[in-house]
Amino acid sequence: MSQPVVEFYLEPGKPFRLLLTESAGYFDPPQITPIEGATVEVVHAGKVYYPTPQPFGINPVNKKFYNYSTDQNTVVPLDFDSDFYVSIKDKNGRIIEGRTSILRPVEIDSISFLTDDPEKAAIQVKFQDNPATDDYYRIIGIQDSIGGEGKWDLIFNDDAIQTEQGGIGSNYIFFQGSKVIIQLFHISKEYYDFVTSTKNASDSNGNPFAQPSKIMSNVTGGMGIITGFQPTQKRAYCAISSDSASISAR
Amino acid sequence: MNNFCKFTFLLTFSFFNILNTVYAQNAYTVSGTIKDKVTNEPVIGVVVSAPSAQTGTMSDENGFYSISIPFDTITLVIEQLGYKKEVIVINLGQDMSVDFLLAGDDEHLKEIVIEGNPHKEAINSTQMSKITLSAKDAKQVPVLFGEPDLLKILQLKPGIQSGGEGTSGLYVRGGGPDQNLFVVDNAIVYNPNHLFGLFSIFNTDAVKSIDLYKGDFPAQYGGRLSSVVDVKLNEGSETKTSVRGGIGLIASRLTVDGPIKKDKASYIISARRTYFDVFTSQLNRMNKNNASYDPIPAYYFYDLNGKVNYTLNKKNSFYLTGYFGRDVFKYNQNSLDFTFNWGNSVAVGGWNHIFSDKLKMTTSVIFSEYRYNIKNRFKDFSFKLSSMVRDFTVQSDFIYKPSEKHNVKFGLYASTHRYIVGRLRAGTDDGTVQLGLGSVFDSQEGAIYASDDFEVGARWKFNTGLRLSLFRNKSKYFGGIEPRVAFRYLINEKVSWKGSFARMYQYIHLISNSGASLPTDIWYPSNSTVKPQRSDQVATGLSLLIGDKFYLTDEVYYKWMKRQIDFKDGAMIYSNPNLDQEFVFGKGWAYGNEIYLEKRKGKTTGWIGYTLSWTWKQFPYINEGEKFFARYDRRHDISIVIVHKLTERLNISGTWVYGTGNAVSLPNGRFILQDIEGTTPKVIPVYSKRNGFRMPPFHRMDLGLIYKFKPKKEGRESDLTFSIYNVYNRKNAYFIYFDEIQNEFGVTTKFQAKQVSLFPIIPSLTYNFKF
Repeated sequence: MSQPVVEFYLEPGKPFRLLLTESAGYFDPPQITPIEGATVEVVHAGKVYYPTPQPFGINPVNKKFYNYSTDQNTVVPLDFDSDFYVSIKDKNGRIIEGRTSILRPVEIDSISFLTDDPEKAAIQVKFQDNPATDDYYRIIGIQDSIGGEGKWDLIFNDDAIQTEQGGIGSNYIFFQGSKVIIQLFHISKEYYDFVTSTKNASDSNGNPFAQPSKIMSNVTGGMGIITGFQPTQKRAYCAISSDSASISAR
Repeated sequence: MNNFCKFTFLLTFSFFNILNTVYAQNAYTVSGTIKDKVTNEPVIGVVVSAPSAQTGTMSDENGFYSISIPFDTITLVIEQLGYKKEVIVINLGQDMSVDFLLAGDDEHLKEIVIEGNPHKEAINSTQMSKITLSAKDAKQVPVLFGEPDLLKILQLKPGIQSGGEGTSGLYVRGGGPDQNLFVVDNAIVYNPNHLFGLFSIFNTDAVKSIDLYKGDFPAQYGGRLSSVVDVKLNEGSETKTSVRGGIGLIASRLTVDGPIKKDKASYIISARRTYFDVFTSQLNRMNKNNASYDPIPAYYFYDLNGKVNYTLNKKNSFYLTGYFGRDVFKYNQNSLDFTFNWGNSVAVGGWNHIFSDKLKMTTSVIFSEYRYNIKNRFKDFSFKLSSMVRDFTVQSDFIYKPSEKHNVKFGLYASTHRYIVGRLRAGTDDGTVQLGLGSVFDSQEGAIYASDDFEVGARWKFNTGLRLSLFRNKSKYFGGIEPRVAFRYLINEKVSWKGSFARMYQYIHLISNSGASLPTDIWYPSNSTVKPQRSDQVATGLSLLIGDKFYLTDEVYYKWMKRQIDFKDGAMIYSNPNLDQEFVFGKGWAYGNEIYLEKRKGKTTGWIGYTLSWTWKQFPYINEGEKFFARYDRRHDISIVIVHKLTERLNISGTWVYGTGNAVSLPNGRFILQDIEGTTPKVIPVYSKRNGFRMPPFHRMDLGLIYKFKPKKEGRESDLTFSIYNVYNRKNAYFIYFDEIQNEFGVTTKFQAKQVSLFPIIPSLTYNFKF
């Protein structure tokens, strides 16, 4: 039986945009079924925002689909203290609800590269982790100057970080000579659980050793995620230094 | 208090029951040891009977027997398949000690044979739900890659299933692979598998016998819910040195045994190693200059068994047993250096003491350890993940035979466990990044037990036992009262009806987040969150002799399993300092009917087994709280094993197995997740029901041919074993997955279910020798 699926990422300074679709049977034809004509309300600090139905299309900047949005001038406020409450009601009377907040960003301190491979390099990113709180992170590295291979996407918690300066590294993934953009997301536990459970569900399809995972949503009345974050970003140039065994970030 | 009252009552009951056995009787006891005339090794399972007194017994693993006879003159018959029958007449005026040296009646049957007249003994015994195998059994049945494996032969018996094609994991009467107690010469072995379960750690040249209990557990065993696999290792000959071994497709083995001091002390050393890595390293070397070639990681496993026996005098003997095995996986390229190794280490020192012809004792001091290490170094960043469980144990077991009608066993067991769970150490050489996790636990476990196997009248025989177990983890204590009761009613001399009840507690748990046993699974002690598991099993059935060649058993069982452990969805088990929070607890239950027909005499031998069974689980936080089938729930399971002696030198064998497909979870829905910037949209499967689908039925036929060469010299033996695994190339589903089918433009056009099969038809050749 199908159910509504919502993806709603709140980013300060950007319009409220969400994707509302219907899940499908596994062997149904491979098409996305948008849910049309639903009413969406976002309540924050006593103010209500109304993302309205939009033609099902793609954001030309980030290549993301959405089908509900506010106008360009109605943006997500920069507020790390108050919750955002979201309520969606579709034409069939189904109600999907959820709540989230935006976590304070965590700055990237440094980026360095390691290699002794003639073509590729690994990356090491350091940042400040608050040892007093349980924190969750997602790090995404994009290589924008050489096409093809070379993308890094990792989601992790701070359980294993023993020093105040957190660090995380990749394997040989970036081509030398490429420009690398690193984004660090300080994420909520709900989003961490959601992404981890979708990954586990994907991995268990085709892995005889994995136990199938139920999708861990933070909405009621359907599936999906409503979350907010403000990523920090740093650019680095992966170039060979005079010492061929080490590579520096410029 | 209530439990204490029950405990006191049961202890008193057991005590009086034992006392009851010590009554005066005009009987004499004949006892002694039975050994092989050539090797001087103890022969177990020899039937010693006194037909005129209608009584009999069997020799134990040390070759010791004891029989009480209410006559002055008696004829004793000593029978063992593969040995010449001995008949002696004894005039008894007092208790006597009589030792036997059995001579072989067939050069080719000198290998260990467990059961002499097993069917008759099985009819008379209270013991049910038990399977006994010898190394000879493993060598006669066709096997994967020509590597004989006793655990895979056990899987061909009713009530026992494998975890997957080709694997040696055991699922006994609905229990999981963590609920089997593996004991090697009294030492617990925590991981009995090599190569992710494809082979067991038991080298057939080193093994004397294996007893597997599916239910009706004797009181001396405890600590696991579903089965006991008791492995006895071979002893060296006290009279002559011999060498035996085998050269196979993937591994070779070599065993040397002989006397240290003639008729006093002996040794045996067995070694086995695979050689995939020899070929892969050659291949890597040949492609060293090929830039597009990805080197193949090196993998091998090996194991070493050793045992020394020393007979001080007729009343005292000692033994030292050692086992060391490792699986090693290595990948080394550029500055990446990855090593993953895992395995068991076991050492046992034992003392057998005969106090009198009625009382004997075995005391063992045991060390057992299982560990895995994953090491990775990349430039100045190093990573190490390890886990371990280590035991130091002392155990004493006594056998007391006050009369022919009673066989009392009692003993005690004390063990201390240390667990290192998911120890992670990682960081840079300069110390600016340091990661560390892991937990260390210590716990203690102890037990005392007593049981009596006694006859009441001519037809009834009972075995009542009680095991009292105790477990401590820091300040938390758990206790278990484990009654064991069994009866046998002799309908006539060829038919008996049996029944049993057994309760088992399991205090340490294997934490596995996968559907299979992996070396990275973690042993974890009970604590205030994770309570001990408990099972209660009842079984009843008939045992029949059909003619003098066929033996038939039909058993039904029902098993309740309490406080079963599973994980929350998406649980993180590696390097998680808060592992307790990832568990969910529920219950399980299993029931079924097992029918087994066996023929062990004549030119054609073998068995047919059929199991009809159900296995259920129920967890409040899984499957919306509804009951669901366990992954290895199997409605129908059939196995047929036939060995036929074509000539004196040529044996042909065949097996055929059929099983209902495993219950598996498959997605019934999907949605598109596009996620945040920098990520690409993915199809996410939606799973609703746990294990709501069935895999296709599994079936396979294997064939084997053993040709024994004519020995060139006295005492030399050799044979060539040819096996064909999966003769009709059945593509059994190992797992099923759903795939996206895309057109030439990379656009998904439809979704399709696909099946992965592991092993096609595989011929293999093994050369075995002995001199």
